[in-house]
Amino acid sequence: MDRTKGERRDSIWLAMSIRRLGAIIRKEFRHIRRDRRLFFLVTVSPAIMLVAFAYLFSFDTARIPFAYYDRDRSAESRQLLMALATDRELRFVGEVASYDDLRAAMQAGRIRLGLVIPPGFGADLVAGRTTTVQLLGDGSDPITAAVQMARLTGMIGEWGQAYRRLNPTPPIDVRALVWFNPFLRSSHSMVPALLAIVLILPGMAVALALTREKELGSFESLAATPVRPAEYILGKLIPYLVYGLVGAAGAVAVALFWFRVPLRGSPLDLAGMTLFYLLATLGVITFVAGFMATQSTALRAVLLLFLVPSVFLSGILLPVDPQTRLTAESLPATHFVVIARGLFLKGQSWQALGRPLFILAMMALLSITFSILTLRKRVG
Amino acid sequence: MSTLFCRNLQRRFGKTVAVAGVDLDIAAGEMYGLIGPDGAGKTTLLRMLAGVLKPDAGTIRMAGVDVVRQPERVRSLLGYMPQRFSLYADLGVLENLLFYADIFGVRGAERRQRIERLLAFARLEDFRDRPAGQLSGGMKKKLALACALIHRPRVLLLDEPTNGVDPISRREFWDILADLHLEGVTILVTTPYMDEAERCQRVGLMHEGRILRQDTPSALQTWVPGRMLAVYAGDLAAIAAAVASFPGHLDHHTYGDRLHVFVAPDLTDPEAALAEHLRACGLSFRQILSDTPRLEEAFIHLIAHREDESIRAGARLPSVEL
Repeated sequence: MDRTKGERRDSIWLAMSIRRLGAIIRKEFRHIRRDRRLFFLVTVSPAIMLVAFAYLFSFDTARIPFAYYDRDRSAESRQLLMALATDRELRFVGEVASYDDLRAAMQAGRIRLGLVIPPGFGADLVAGRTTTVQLLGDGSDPITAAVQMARLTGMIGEWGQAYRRLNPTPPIDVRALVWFNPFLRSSHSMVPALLAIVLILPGMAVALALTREKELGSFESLAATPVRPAEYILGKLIPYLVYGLVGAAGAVAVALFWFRVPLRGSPLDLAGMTLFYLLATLGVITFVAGFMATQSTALRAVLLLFLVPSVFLSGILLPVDPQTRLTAESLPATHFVVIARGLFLKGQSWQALGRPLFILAMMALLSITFSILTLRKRVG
Repeated sequence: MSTLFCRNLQRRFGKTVAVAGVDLDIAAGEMYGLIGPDGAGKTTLLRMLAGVLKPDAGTIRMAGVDVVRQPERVRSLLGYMPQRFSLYADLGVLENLLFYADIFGVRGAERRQRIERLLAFARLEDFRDRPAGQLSGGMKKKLALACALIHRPRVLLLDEPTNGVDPISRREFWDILADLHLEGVTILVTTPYMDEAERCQRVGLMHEGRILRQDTPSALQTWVPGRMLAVYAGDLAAIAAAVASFPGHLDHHTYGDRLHVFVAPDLTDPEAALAEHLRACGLSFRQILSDTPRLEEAFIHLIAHREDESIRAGARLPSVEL
């Protein structure tokens, strides 16, 4: 009995035929190509979702209303304001006559950024002394405030340096003060991190593909054929991996050319690590979908077990909370967030990203192995 | 030794017993028909025989291989056609056939010849590129059969293969099965149609998870006790009400333009006696003929009889849909 059981295991799981694997891969490619919604879900929707999520979580598409309180009224202050007025992300609401007016305008929501130029600004610049301006942000929308204040600080600093090149002056010392919420969070690294979220979509597609086969009954026919669990699982995964990489390329293009996020690391590293991430998400989702009987339960499982926790726990919006550390670490997205930020912003190479990369590789290996081992060629 | 053999096969789903101990011995080359009402356990039985559902108890042997323990060993000699349409609707006719050929390792010249033969066999040559989902009901069934035959299986398990198919396609499908039977393929087919069961060599009647009886179609008709008289009349409802009071009456069913009346076998000249009884009730009829019961009557009678026994035994009345 034990011997025959052992034989059965050998014949089911180890022996693999390239011909049968190829047949399933070809079939799966055809399914994806012919199902417009599926094709869209895997290839195009990651890029679209990245745009939507990035605006949702970080950028404001509207121009930022802006007012100034010029207490200096010098030629120099006028020059600075002219420079800012040409910026396409700012909308000049007008000049105010007092601090109180500035505060009232922000409280009423008429403006979201304010600039105060102190008396003596022009004289200090001309005399070559370091001078000060004050930038005011609306902390009720901390992400926009942080982004815009950082940007304006940079712009004013640049303007000051340009002025100094013409006149030997020390740079302007910009002092930022945030009203209403002094603890702002930076959203600079949002877009690369969101790649981890949008690349769950190919996994969602594979979960649908696996359960659809059960729902439509084709799995029953297939179960009565010599197809092996390894051939079936890999035959499903490989086409979604290929199309998932296409989808990833689209999302990365959006990050680079739409959001202008710099890629400081190597593109080859990014491609390789994205492959590992896709393998890990596809594998883990395949394992979970193996226990689901219908497309709707599989879809709900992917949403509740992967997409939603990944958005909130993987360190995209907030640093990983020590209390949810274990849950976060068990999500492939958490590790890819570290990788994506490291590659895009810090220019890290794969040596520096060894830990998250190793975890993703192990997740991929274990989940695919267990998906194969737990697949039952049975119905009911 | 039988090609398909099972003993004491059982399977339950929660509290529902789907198959409650089935024995089968199907000889090589035999065509065996399994009939029974919906919910009798036919599909569950076939799934277990096909090795896609694990039995709770019992043994199955197909060509000497233990299907329960080593289902992978019977895959290459088994062709299984599930009840539901189970091909890929978005793949074309030819693509479906090629897929199954590759899965079963049919390759090269053999693959080409085999597919051409099956396309001709199923009369699907002109529909090679049509997506399977856009075929008619009958063509879908024929394509599913062709896919199940791609690897020349020795045993064919067909679960209601002609369900929902028009009569002409149904006839065509059975002509194909008859050809396979002549080629020596062992066939087990379930069907709700009596005329189809009558085309099998042997018929088993399944009810509530058991095979009540099995025999040749002609012998099955003798299971009905008594004699069957066919009363041809205009007002069948009045006749039906009247025959119930006829001495020796066992059972009756309407059948098209006539009423089939089962009477005790020991009556002398039952036609004349029944005619007299009906006239005494003041009813007119065209004629009364002695007739052989059809398989359907045998089927209904056996199940009704079994339910009577259950009621007498104090059991709950099982629901039967016919």
